[in-house]
Amino acid sequence: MSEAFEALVSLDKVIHEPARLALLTALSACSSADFVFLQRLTGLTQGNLSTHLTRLEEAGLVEIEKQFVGKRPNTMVQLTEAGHLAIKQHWQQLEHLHEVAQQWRPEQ
Amino acid sequence: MDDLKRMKVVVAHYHDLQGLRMLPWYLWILAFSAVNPILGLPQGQLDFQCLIFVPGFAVAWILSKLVGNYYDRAFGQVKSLPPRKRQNAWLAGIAFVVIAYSGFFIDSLQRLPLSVFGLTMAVALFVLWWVSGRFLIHNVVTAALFAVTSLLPLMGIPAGGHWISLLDGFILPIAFSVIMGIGSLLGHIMLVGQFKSLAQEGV
Repeated sequence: MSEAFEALVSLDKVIHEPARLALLTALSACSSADFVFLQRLTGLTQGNLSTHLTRLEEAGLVEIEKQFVGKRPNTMVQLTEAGHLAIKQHWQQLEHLHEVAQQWRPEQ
Repeated sequence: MDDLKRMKVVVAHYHDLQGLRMLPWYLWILAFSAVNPILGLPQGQLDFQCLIFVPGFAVAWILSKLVGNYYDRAFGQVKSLPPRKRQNAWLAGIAFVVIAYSGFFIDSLQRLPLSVFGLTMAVALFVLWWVSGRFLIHNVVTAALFAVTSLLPLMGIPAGGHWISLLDGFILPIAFSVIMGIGSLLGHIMLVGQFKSLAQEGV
């Protein structure tokens, strides 16, 4: 079981924070999504979402593109290649941990 | 974990779940199919159907565009497919129209004891159900409806007639538009419900 605990501790905290994990998971299912969609999907406030996206951008996991659609500002977000790889590996780690946790029985 | 999986499904099928986009088109088919029975006119009489066809098409197109803008503004935008796959979708759509039209032509010759057009519709709806996440049940229900209707003549139904009398009638298009319309509404409700529940949970 100690191996599982080590794996748990070694999870990347930039990714594993719940809101950022939700954002990366959502972005892994599409080419890109805009700020409004991510906000509606996660229920985060504008400020919180902006902070999390900046953190992910700084970590090189997402790319943020600001543009105008007509007269309206529009922010599109997409995963970088590193982001795709990172979220895929993170989910593999989580699923592995889940399996290990299910097999674990406390010693009598 | 399950919430995140559900979220992934919503993102991947965001456009499929925007049911209100397609609703004007189903209402158009419904109006076109139901106008004669409502007015008590024979189904072959095209006066009122023609009156509905072109203006109805325009209204459905405009409403569909407006609804699309509503989705973009209220729920945001997602680019769900890479351009290459989008091209494939277009090619599949064109291939469907060509095959369906050919099927309709073959059917109009009344030589086969089943409907090629109906079976094409059934296959297309089944494929649509398969590629759109396999949870939009109305697609597979309508596919089954078309498949059964197309094969009924093999069992002697309609008695003494060709299957085309079923298609020529109003029941099948009305059933199609009603089932697809209800399914679209349910898709929309599922989409909105997902946004709301996630907002409440605060992820």
